[in-house]
Amino acid sequence: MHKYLTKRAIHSFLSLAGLLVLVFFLARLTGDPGNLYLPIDATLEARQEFTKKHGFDDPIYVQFGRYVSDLAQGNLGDSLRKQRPALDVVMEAIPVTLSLAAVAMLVALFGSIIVGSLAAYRPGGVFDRISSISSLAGASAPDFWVAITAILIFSVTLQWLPTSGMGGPLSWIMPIAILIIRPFGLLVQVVRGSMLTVLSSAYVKTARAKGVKESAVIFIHALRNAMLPVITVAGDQAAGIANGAVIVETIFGWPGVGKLMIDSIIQRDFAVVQTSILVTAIVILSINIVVDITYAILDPRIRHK
Amino acid sequence: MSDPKVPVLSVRDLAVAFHTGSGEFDAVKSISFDLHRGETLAILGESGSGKSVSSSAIMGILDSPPGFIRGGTAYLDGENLFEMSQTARRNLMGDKIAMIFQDTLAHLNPVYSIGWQISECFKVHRGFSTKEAWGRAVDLLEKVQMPNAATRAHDYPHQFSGGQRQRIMIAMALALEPEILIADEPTTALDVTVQAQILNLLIALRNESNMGLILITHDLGVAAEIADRLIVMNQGEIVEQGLVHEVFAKPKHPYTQRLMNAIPGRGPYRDLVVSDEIAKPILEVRDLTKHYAVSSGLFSNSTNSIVKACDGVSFDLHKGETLGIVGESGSGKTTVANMLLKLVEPNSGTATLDGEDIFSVTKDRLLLLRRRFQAVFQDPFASLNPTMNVFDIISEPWRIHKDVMAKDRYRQRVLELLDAVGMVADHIDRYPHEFSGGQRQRIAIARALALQPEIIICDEAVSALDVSIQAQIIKLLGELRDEFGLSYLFIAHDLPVVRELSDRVIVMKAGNIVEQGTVQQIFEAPKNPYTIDLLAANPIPDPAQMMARRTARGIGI
Amino acid sequence: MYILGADALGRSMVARLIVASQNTMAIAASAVAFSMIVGGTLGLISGYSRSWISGAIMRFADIIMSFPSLLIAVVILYIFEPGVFNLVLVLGVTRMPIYMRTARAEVLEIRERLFVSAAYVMGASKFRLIGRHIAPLVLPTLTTIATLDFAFVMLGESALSFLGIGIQPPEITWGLMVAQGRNYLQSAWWLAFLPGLFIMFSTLSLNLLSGWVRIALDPVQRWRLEVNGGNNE
Repeated sequence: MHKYLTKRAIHSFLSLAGLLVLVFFLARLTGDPGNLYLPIDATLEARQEFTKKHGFDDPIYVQFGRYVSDLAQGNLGDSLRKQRPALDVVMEAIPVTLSLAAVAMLVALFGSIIVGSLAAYRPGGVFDRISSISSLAGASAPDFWVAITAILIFSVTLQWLPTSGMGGPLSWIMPIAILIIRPFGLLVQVVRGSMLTVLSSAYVKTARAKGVKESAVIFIHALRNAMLPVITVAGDQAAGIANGAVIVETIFGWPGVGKLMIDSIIQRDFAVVQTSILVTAIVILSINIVVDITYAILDPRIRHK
Repeated sequence: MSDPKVPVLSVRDLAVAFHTGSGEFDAVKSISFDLHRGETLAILGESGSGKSVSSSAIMGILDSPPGFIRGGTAYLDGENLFEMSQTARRNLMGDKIAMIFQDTLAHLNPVYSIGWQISECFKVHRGFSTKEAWGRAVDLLEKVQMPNAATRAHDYPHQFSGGQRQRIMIAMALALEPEILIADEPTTALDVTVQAQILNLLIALRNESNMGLILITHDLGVAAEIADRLIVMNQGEIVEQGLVHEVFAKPKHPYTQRLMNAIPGRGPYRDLVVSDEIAKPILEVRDLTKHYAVSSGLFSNSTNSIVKACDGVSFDLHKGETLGIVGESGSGKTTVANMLLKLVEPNSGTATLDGEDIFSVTKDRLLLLRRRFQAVFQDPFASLNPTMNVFDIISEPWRIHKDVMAKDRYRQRVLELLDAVGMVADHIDRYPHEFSGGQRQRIAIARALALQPEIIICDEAVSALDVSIQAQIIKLLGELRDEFGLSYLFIAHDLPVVRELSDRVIVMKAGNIVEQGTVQQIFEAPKNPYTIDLLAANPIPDPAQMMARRTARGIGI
Repeated sequence: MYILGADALGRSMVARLIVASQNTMAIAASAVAFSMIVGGTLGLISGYSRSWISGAIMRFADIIMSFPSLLIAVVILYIFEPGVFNLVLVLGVTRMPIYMRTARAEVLEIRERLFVSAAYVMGASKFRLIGRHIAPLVLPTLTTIATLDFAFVMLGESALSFLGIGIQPPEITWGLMVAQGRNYLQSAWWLAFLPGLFIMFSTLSLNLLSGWVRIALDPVQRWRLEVNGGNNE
């Protein structure tokens, strides 16, 4: 188990290192990094001073070394817009996104396990057909469109819910609902498929031949096995939720990392963009490690590798 | 308990069908039989005979849909299983009627410990506490002779060997001392020596508890070995039933007769006269060695143990000779084949073909040498590319070795080869999935013959086939050998098959050759204790020999 | 021409929807083709090669997979110019890992099959083994994924265009139409609603299609289609 987890952790770390390198070179591919970091109307002198100050005229490997050592010290540059360290700006936005994502993920995961299992128990039945079509529709719907349609109906026409902003419980309803649509739709299908496979497996047959009750067959013998692929997909959905958060935060005006990134891009605040990417990456990789540990706990075959 | 004359299970007119792409398919067509206490009933049949489907239906674990019971009754202690409520039936299952399966790895839940899985029986049917049930599970594991039962109860299915897993399945099935045990090919995936142990265990347990045992098998030897009565099934119907020794002595139905005649290993021994012309071997294998390092350290540099898959194996193969290599799983026989075919790199050793060592020649030279030795593999369903038709499959060797034949002659030659392996010209444009297992193996043989090799390495080439098909392919291989002067390296775990075709035999165990000699020497006068064990463990489908061995086991008739 | 009304500049809604559909489809098709060809090839190499290249390719897939595709796309399109070519490239690259992983997993399984060994024993070259024996068996699976992915890429493209870093006006796609219509939500709701509905119906159809394709390709599952077709209430 330690071998497996260590290997997975090394892979995660390599992914992070790969992203760091990618961001570094992408930022320098455009030629003059001043274009990215400075306002568009910056004077030539300002640009030259900037280049000199940050050593952009040094050889690329010297620059890379400096980049890495700056990263190690948590020095990710200053936000042009707010005139303070980019890391501080991002860390303020992180809790908003995390709470939004955590609530959405929990609702999507537990909801999909219940709906998916029920659908798989009678494949082709009424419940299966309804849940299959609606989960497919959910996975197919463009979230930004659902969001503005929902605003049109619930905020503009019915005036039940606020159009935007982060506030009381009512303001959470639409963002969470929009955010879970895609992962929920996808997870329902994964749970259903996985459950169908497991329910037709040989060991479920053995359990039935032993005279185990149907409820125990499903919730004890089948569910734990069926969860294995679901957990993997749910882990991958962490990235999907982050995608959704960008849209939801932008539309509903939530001060999370997604909105921060889009705002920073529009205002050409590259230090914040870069920091947001790295912090998001670290969060997602941590989630991946949690997923790996859960997997190892559930599956003894992984534990004994 | 009850009247011994009254059957414990009575099946009448059972019919089972499946939904398929081309309508409904009748897998079982109205079969009837009885099972008594303390009796072992063997249901014998080849693949597709409906033998497993009927037991799944009785057990209530038919894959449904697509399968469904069309009609019939199955009375257990006077109650019809097919008409009782789900709850009533569930209470019987695992308690009065239990089942064990062939593929034990798939049939045990991978994420729960085996102790948990066995103790579940007591919790479900007897309402035992967790602790009490666990204690009983450990007792049962001891009863099926699991070493270190108390500790091993905490382990998971993947940590056991195939034989041990079957013991676990048996422990689970017998937990509540059922009246009926259905064993569906319980020893098919196991080595013969392990098979003998499991069969002995089953018989001992049956004698002890006086249960009725239904043994579903394709193996006439196994049926002859432990069954009292025999049912022969073919295409969903019972074609013959009766006492085992009577059926074996005097099979009445033509299908049973065909089946009995197909049993390999009963003809005269082959006796190849080694003349001067063939005295010089065409293939000389010397000190062939393959060791695998098994690592368990984190950074896999620290090797903990070495598996000697093949440890200094030497032998010769002469022209026109068939050399059989027998051994159980892990003996290294397949490793030898894979090394000779260059699918696996040896650590050391040579294999000399006409003075050239195939392990040290250049790549170009090897390509030329490859024409002289070809292979036929075990699983005819897997050894043909499903996206290629018969013409493409058989002509592929010429597309690789372009100078062998002009393109315009391909078709003619493929037709000749098809004819040689007993297929017809119509087959040339068809795809592998349109053929049966035996036909596919014929196609694979035709492909091996395409380059007119001198040596064909047959790795378990008939093991996956039904007995009657097996007999046909063995016959074909023999004819081709005599016609084209081929030499075979015939690798198999099945002793009678090796006896049928070989001139000389090598017995392997744990990477070493333990004994070699002419086929008669090995089968009539084995010297090595392992060879003797192997021969003794092999079930013999012969009434006379069977009687002696059954008496020795205390089965009686 | 004006059945569905017109936009703020008086341009026909129907005409714009049609032009937008062409752009949306063309971009999605090119991106899917790109990721299927490049990703599939990399997956084949990764599955067949036993050297370090195999691991390196999979780490590359991991890196792309680990991070939110939308964020990566946003950054890349920010650094470079948001144009059709870059958009296709970004969408294609972010969707590559699924082909790489699937192709690799399939190759790892297929290369162990006996007919591959049989061809190797005959002396078949690497190119013949991959091209004739392995790739033809991987292709159906990749095609099924591509159908599904087409829907996913359409959603990705429309999200990027909606955020203003995808297709730039005066070019038009459905996603951009939703973004532009958003400003007129209270006066002319259909400007944003209709293009979104079109996106959803297209992706939903593709999802359903891919589901059926998968069942039809699987001999074990095929009876379901036939049985359901046979006694459709």
